[in-house]
Amino acid sequence: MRNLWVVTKKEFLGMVKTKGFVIGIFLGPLILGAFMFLPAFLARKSKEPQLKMAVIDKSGWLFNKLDSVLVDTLPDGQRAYILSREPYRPQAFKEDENKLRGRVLKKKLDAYLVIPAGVDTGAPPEYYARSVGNVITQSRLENRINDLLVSRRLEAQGIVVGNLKSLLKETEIELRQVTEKGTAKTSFLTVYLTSFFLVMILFTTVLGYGQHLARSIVEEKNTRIIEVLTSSATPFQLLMGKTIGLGGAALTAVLGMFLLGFLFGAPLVRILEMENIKNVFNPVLLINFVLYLLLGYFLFMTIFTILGAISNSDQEVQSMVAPIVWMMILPIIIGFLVAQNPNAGWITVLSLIPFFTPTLMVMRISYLPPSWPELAASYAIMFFSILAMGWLAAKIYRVGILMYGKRPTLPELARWVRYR
Amino acid sequence: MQLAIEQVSKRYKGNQWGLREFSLNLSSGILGLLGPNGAGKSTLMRILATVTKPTAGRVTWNEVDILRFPDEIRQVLGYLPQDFGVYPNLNSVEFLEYMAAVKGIDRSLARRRIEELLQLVNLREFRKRPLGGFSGGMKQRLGIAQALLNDPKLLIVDEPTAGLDPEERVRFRNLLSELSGERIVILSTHIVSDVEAAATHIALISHGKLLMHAAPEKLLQGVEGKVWEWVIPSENLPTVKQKHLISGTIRRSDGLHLRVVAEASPAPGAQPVSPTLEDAYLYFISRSRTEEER
Ligand SMILES: Nc1ncnc2c1ncn2[C@@H]1O[C@H](COP(=O)(O)OP(=O)(O)OP(=O)(O)O)[C@@H](O)[C@H]1O
Ligand SMILES: [Mg+2]
Repeated sequence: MRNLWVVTKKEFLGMVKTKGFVIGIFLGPLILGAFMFLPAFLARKSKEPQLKMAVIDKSGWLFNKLDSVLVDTLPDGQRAYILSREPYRPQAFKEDENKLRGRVLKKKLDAYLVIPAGVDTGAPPEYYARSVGNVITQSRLENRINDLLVSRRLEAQGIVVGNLKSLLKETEIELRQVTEKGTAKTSFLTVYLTSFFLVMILFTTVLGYGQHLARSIVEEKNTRIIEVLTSSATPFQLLMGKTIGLGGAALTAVLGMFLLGFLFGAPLVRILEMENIKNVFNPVLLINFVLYLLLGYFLFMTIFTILGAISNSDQEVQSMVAPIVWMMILPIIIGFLVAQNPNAGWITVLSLIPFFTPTLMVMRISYLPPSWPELAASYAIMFFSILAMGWLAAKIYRVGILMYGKRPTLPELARWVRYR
Repeated sequence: MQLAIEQVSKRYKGNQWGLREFSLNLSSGILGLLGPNGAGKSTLMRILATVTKPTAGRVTWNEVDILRFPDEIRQVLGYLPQDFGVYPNLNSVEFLEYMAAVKGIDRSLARRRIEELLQLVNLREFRKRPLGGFSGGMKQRLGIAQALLNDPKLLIVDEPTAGLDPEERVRFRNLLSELSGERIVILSTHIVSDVEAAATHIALISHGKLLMHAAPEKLLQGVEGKVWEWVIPSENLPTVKQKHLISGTIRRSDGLHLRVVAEASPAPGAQPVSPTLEDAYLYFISRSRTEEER
C-alpha cells in the first residue's frame, strides 16, 4: 500500500510539474473553444470595409432601385456599399469597361457590376472584383436584385407590392430538445460542436497519457531502474501506481480545462448570445463524460501497458500506436451517422463494445441520452473489461519489464501470461 | 551471514545457457566476480538480486530459500544493474528520495543518508542538476549511491566502475574498502585491478561455470613461477603471440618487453617475475579454454 502511494505520487507529480501539462490545460480549451466560438465571433466582429462599386446599367432602370435598397450598414453605422453609376455608351463600352478594370486593379474601385439590358428576362448581371470570395456581398446582391426583379414582374402583371420582403418572409425551425426536465432550446450545431469538443478531449487525453505510460515503462526498462524497483515493490504496485498517478494527472487536466472553459467561456457565451450552449452542457452529460473518460482511460491504459512492456524503444511504441488511434477515432468518423439516429440498433451494439463505448456514449448522450438500463449495461461491461484486460496487462507487464531484445511473438505472449 | 548458491542453472531462449550448475558459498567479505564477456556474471547477479529466477538450483540466504521467500533477501539488498540509467527529469536528490521511498526508508533518515552518499560519490555539487544532463560516469556514481541507500547487508554491483575516470575509480576502490564490516559485497568487473586491493575473495567464471573461488593470494600462488619477462625484437611479436599467452607488452629501445604466462620458461633469456592478479586471471581463463577445446 505504501509503495503504491509512493509510486502514484511520483508519477502524478512528475506529470503535473511538466511545462507541457500546464500549457495543455490552457491550450486545450483555447483550441477547442476556438472551434466553438470563433465562427460566431468572427461573423459578429469581422470588420468588413466599405465596398466601392461602379455600375454600368444597360437596362436603364435597375441602378436607382438597387442603390435605394442596398443600404446595409457596417457596425460603425456607415454604408457598406458605395455605388456609383457609370454612363452606358454602347459604342465605347469596351473602352469604358477597360478603364473600370484598370481602376479596380489600382484599387481605386473594389468592384464593378454590369447589368445587362435583358436583366428582367433572365440575363445575369456580371460582378467583377479583385476578390470573388466575398460570399456575403454576392448573396446580398443576388437577393436584392431578385427582389427588385420579382417586384417588377409583378407590377407588369398589375400587382403592386409595397414591401416584398414582408410578403416573402421565410421561417426557420427552432430546435428544442426534449429531456427529462422539459424542453430546452438548442441548435444542431451547438450539440454537434459540444459532442465533438468532449470527444476530442477524451481522445487526446487517453492517447496522450497512454503514450506517456508506454514510454515511461520503456524508459524504466532501458535504464534498468525497474530491476532495482522490483526488488522493493511488486510489479503490480508499480503498474497500478503509474496508472493511478497518471490518471490523477489526466483528471486534474480535464477538470482544469473545464474550470478554465467555464471561467472564460461563460462571459463569451453571454456576449455571443450562445445561451443555449448551457442546455447542451448539462450535468447528466458532464457526469457521464467524466465517468466514461476515467473508464476509457483505464481500459486503454491496459493496452498501452502491454505496448510498453513488449517494446524496447520509443520508436517501437510509436509504430504500434496507429491501431489504437483507429480504435478511438472510428466513432468520430461515424459521428454524423450517430447524429442522425443516435439510437440506431447497430450504434447501440457498437457502443457496448468496450473500446468504442466512451466516445460513442458521450456522443449519444449529447444528442439523445440512451435509456438507463443501457447506460448501466455499458458501465458494467466497461468495468469488467477493465478487470479482465487489467489482469492480462499486469501478467504481461510483470514478465515484459525484465525482457530485453526481440519483441515477443503472440505464442510467446501467451506463455508470459501463463508464467507463475 | 550466509549466502549459498547450489547447483544453479539458467537457460535463456534458444537453449542459450547463462549459468550451468553453479555453486558457491559466501560469508561476509567482498567477492570479486571476474570473467570474460558473456561468462554469466550478470546472470548470476540478477538471480541473486531476485530479478530473474534460475531454471534449476537453489539459492539460500541465511538458510532461507530466496526463490520462495524473495523478500528475505530484498530487505537487505543493494543492487546496481549493469548499464544503469536514471530518470532524466529528476535531479539527484529527487531520484534518491524516490528510490529510498520505494525501499521503505524513513524520510528523515533518507534525507541524512542521501547527503552522506552524495558526498561519498562526489556528486554533491550537482545535487540539483537534472539527471538528463549527467555524464555516463556521473550516472554510474548515482547508481552506486542508490545501491547503498539502505546500508545493505548484501550489496550486488554489476560493473560499478564502467565509465568511471581514473580518479573516480580510485575513489570507488576506497569506498569499497571502507564498506567492510558484516556484509557481503559481490562486484563484477573485467578490470582486475578494481578488485585487487579490496576483494577478500575472487570467483573466476567462464561459460556459465565457476572456474575457481579463492582468496587473491591463492590465485597468485597458482601462477607463482609461471610469469616471465622476455625481450624480443618487435617483428617477432606475431609469431610469439600465437604460441604464448602474453599479459603485457612494453616497447623499449632494446626491443619489446613481453610479460608471458607459461608453465615453463618460454626461452632461455626469459626472466621469472612475480605475478599479478591479471596474470592469474589470464592464466586460469585460458587454461579453461584449452581444456574445453580438448
Ligand atoms: N536476456 C537474455 N536472453 C538470451 N540470452 C541471454 C540473455 N541474457 C544473457 N544471455 C546470455 O547468457 C550468457 C551470459 O550473459 P551475462 O550477461 O550473464 O554475461 P556477463 O558475464 O555479464 O557478460 P558481460 O561481461 O558482457 O556483462 C551470454 O551468453 C548471453 O548471451
Ligand atoms: Mg554483465
